[in-house]
Amino acid sequence: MTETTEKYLTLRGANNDIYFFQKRVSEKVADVIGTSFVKTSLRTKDLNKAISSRDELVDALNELENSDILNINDHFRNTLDSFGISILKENGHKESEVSNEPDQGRRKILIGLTAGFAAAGVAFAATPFVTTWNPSARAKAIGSAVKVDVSKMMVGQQIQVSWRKQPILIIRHSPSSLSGLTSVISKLADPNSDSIDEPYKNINATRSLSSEYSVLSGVCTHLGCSPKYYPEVEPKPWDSSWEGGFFCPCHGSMFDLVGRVYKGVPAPTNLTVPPHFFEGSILTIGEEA
Amino acid sequence: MVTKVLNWINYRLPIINTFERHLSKHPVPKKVNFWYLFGALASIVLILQIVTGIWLMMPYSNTEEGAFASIEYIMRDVDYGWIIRYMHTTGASMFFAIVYLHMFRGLLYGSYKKPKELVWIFGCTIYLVMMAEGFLGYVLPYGQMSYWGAQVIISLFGAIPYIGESLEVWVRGDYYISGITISRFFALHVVALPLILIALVFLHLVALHEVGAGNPEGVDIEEYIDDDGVPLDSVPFFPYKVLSAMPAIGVFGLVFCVIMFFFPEGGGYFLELANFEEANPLVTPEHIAPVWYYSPFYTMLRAVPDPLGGLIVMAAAVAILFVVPWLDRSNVASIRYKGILSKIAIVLFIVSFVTLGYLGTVTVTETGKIMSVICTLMYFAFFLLMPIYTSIEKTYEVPDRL
Repeated sequence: MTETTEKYLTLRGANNDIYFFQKRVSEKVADVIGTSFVKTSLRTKDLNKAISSRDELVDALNELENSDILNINDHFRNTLDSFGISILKENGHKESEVSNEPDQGRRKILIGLTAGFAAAGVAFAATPFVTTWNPSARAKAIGSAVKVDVSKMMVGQQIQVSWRKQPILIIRHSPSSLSGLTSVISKLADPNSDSIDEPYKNINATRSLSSEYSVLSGVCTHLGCSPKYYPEVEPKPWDSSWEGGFFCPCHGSMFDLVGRVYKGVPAPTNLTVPPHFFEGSILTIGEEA
Repeated sequence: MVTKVLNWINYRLPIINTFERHLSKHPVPKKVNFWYLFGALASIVLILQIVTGIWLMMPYSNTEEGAFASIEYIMRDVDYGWIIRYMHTTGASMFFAIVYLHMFRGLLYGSYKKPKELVWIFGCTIYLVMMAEGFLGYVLPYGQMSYWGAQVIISLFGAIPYIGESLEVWVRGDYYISGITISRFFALHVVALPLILIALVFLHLVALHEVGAGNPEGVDIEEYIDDDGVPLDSVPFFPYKVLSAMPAIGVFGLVFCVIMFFFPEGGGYFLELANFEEANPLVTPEHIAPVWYYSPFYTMLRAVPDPLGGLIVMAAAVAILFVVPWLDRSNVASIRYKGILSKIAIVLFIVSFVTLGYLGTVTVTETGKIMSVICTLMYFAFFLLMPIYTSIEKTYEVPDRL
């Protein structure tokens, strides 16, 4: 047996005894039959049968190569068909009446819906990762309201309590210092607390729910230091006509006795008033009544 | 504008080329089956473990007094802390489940065959690091099972002759598993091993992309390439593989959520019930079993009466995976074209591995002991006899194309 007799033939199958036809075809033929490499079982163990089948196939493929597809002889067509090689182009021509173009509108809707659902999924999945950074139940319990009995305070005294680990300043004003509050107004930047969200506005001169006590957050509105209480009406290094109030040691911001900020100091707004209420002499800070 | 910026960067740092080469245009075999999804799922779970792990680190306290309490704190006080923790614990079990299936795929379709030996070896190393990572993580809550599980595992070091006992103390840094042990395990669990794991995953993927992904037929798609050198039987990773993986990812997510929301303890297999009690060095829980993903190896350890022998068998059971590429002498990769001997062998292998897994979770009995010895022998026979049965059996012809 010469090499030519076995050209395009190879043994395959479970027991390596079935003849297969293998041939690489030209681009033109590949285009027609949908593959550039023809590999098909000749379903025989007999070399002579295999050779005749091989020759038929080669002839049919040559015919495809050389003639117009639509005019191909039925004999060749059947040969190719019987070995599972179908001519795609003809069907392709007929089907091309029906558009193969994707429906862009439909595609856009589907992509939009998919992206929308994905975004919703991401939002849901992200929720626990965001919320675990909230204060935990323990932190909330520690950060809940604090109660102070203010009846033991002396007039003019200032005490400091801690709420959420922040200093809260409580001041018991004397009637004279309360009446002096109007005299500093010209020095103040915002005497009526118009620029901040004042919780108990226009109730008392103390800015609190009590006519005698002020309740202030001891956190400077500039950069968070804690202003110190200087109630004396006397010249101070920072103000020669000091009328009593709070002075921040960090950057020299000044506030009056009820925490209203002076003009021309770094602090932009008045000290804030935390939520609070009085039950007799018991002051609760951190909660509304 | 965006293109301009991208081009500017790409000229200096090949991001577009790398992205196209390894992701968007990476050619992958056009016909694969569901077994080929687990690699992608594993990388998703790895990311999930890293993210939830970072979030768990924030409220966790790595001290003897604080560890158990901080887990309770996460479960009860931290807003949605429970979901993050259950995501992490479910993720751990899922990670192992996926990796086991992924490795089994490798055995089925010969994903270790030349030239993919290094891909396989990096994969086995990932599995080894994961086992260490999982163990260290399980100790951190400092519950009863954390303590006694760690006690058993660390005692294994004690079986090593001469240096064993001092090695045990050195690993613990104390005479019992104390806060010192916890804080060093914490450092290893959250920093050292994850870094190694990420590096190994990177190598696993780079090596894979160099030699190309396999397929269930074991066909080398690189043999038929088009004029641009792209295999004819391949499709670009995006959109074909990404989109077809999406439904699978969805189904996986559903399974994951069902476990996480309804069965986070997995009936005591994912989170052992004894671990809901704080560690007590004076009282051993009645029934000590490892989490399910270690139990096949734990059974092998128990099957050998001598502690050192058990340790060697257990280590060998993992080590033998590394040499599989050289044990398989078959001329075909996929089980589809291998002979009957390989098919019988792989069935017996699954039976033995699953039985070993089951035996590790139950109390030792007489029959259980005999079974575990038989299954251990079967496990090793699968690998040690592989050079013989893969070379004598008659294989089938592999097609040229996919």
